[in-house]
Amino acid sequence: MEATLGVPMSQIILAAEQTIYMVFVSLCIGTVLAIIMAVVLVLTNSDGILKNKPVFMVLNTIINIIRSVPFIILMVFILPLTKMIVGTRIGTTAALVPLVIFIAPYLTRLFENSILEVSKGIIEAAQSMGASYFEIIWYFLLPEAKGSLILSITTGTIGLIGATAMAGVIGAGGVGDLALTYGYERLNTPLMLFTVVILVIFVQIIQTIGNHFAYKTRNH
Amino acid sequence: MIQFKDISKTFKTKTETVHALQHVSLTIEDGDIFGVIGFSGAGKSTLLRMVNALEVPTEGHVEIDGKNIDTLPHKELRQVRKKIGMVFQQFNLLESRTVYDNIAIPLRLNKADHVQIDNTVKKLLKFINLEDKADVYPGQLSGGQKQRVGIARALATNPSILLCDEATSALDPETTEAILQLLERINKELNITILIVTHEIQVIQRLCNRVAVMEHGQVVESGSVLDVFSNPQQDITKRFIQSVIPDTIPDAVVQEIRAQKDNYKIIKVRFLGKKANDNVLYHINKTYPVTTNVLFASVSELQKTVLGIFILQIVGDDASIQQVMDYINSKDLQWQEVEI
Repeated sequence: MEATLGVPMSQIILAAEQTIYMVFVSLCIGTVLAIIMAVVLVLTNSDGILKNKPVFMVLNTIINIIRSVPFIILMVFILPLTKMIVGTRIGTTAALVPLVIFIAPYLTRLFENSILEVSKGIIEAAQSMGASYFEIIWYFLLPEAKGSLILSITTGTIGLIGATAMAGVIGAGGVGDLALTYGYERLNTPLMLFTVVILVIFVQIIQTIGNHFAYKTRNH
Repeated sequence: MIQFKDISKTFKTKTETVHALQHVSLTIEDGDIFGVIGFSGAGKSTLLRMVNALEVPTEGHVEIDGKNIDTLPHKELRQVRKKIGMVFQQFNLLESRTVYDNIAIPLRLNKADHVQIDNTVKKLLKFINLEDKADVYPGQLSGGQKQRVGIARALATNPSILLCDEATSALDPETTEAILQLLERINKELNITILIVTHEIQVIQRLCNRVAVMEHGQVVESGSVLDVFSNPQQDITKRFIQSVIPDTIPDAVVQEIRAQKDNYKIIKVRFLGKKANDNVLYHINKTYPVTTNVLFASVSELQKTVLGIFILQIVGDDASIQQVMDYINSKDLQWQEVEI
């Protein structure tokens, strides 16, 4: 196996670990940020229960700006910020900063749509019960949007795996980097094929898990 | 007691200004089942939603037990809302929670402890007769069952007022009847004041003791169901009531009468309560030199009182007809002449 692929197995496993680490950590942080931002967007939009045009406009614009920058450019553009936050510009941990900044606005948009799908009647019922704004979000909006939120996270995760392939530029490693440096640059076609297969399997597994849990929450 | 004091509500959009409510004043006493009827767009739902301040009036204000709820701080308003249950046309149940959890939600918001929640929810499940559906999700329930869960949820915090926003409009007639019976029990057994808005006159007839009729954002007629149904004043009220208590002569009979050459007068008489039992017709036929033909008759029950409507053709000479009219007037019956 090692002979065919031209790299030690330990390197492949390390690359897989790096990808999983980057995806997992940036997904966790990004999801928390995105939930908060999506809730703020839904509450402050013109039909929201805490309608607030300035807040909505500012947040909405920031999200649009970040989302218009391609990830590879975003990554090098915010290097000074990365250095400030994690103390280094290179390596797997350094890649977390641009990955979070990339995925959070993306997830925010997906979550925003998921939460907007919850019928306005549910919010009205919550208000009629004397629920506070926090209670409306916690007991009504998020649980009702759960199935759709899970699918959004699934979509976000797959987008994130794509982004980690580019993180090799700042020395983050990962499966994508392995494919580029060893597979593409050394014309190692078997390795290239192997990494593609691995990524396909990753994505399939994630989508299957996501669908399963979304289905479970939606179909009672 | 709920009082709407000179309420107006204006919605402004970029292109137009909509006067949803115009100078509405109504008082709903404790223990009433008060119905507000009107076609869609009449402003009745807007009015209902003002009771728990889901809508706030542009002018005027709402008082509950003498307290103006439109000036309350948000925190106090939330406390008031906990004492007002609300039931919706589309049920608005949480699809992600079981029936049990849906009913428990208002109690959880009130930080009730587990034992208290369990007791209350089980009692309510029994009250709505859905004990076997506790662990089922709303998606598996029929419309009527969903509405019963919605009602149980509204009752969970032991409210003094129940607001029903077209609570039966999405249900078939049989299910509607079951829900109306449930609402009646809630009013009688739990002593909860009910305010219901609907476009179905059957709901008013079957359930309410007082009614207000709305058209174009205004209350055009209001009073006890008995008074309004037995003697409607406005055209819209008459149209609503005619659909459940018809009071017109069938066309075929009209054709027949038009062909007659006799001297006659046609009157519509309304009997209410005990008067319906008095043998007025028998007396007329026996005492006066006239013949009476019943062209139309209906007897309905309203608030446990009998409402009879008869359309009589009195055939005879003018003097005799006048005598009959004097007699009817002496019996203190409502009547009006019908032109055909």
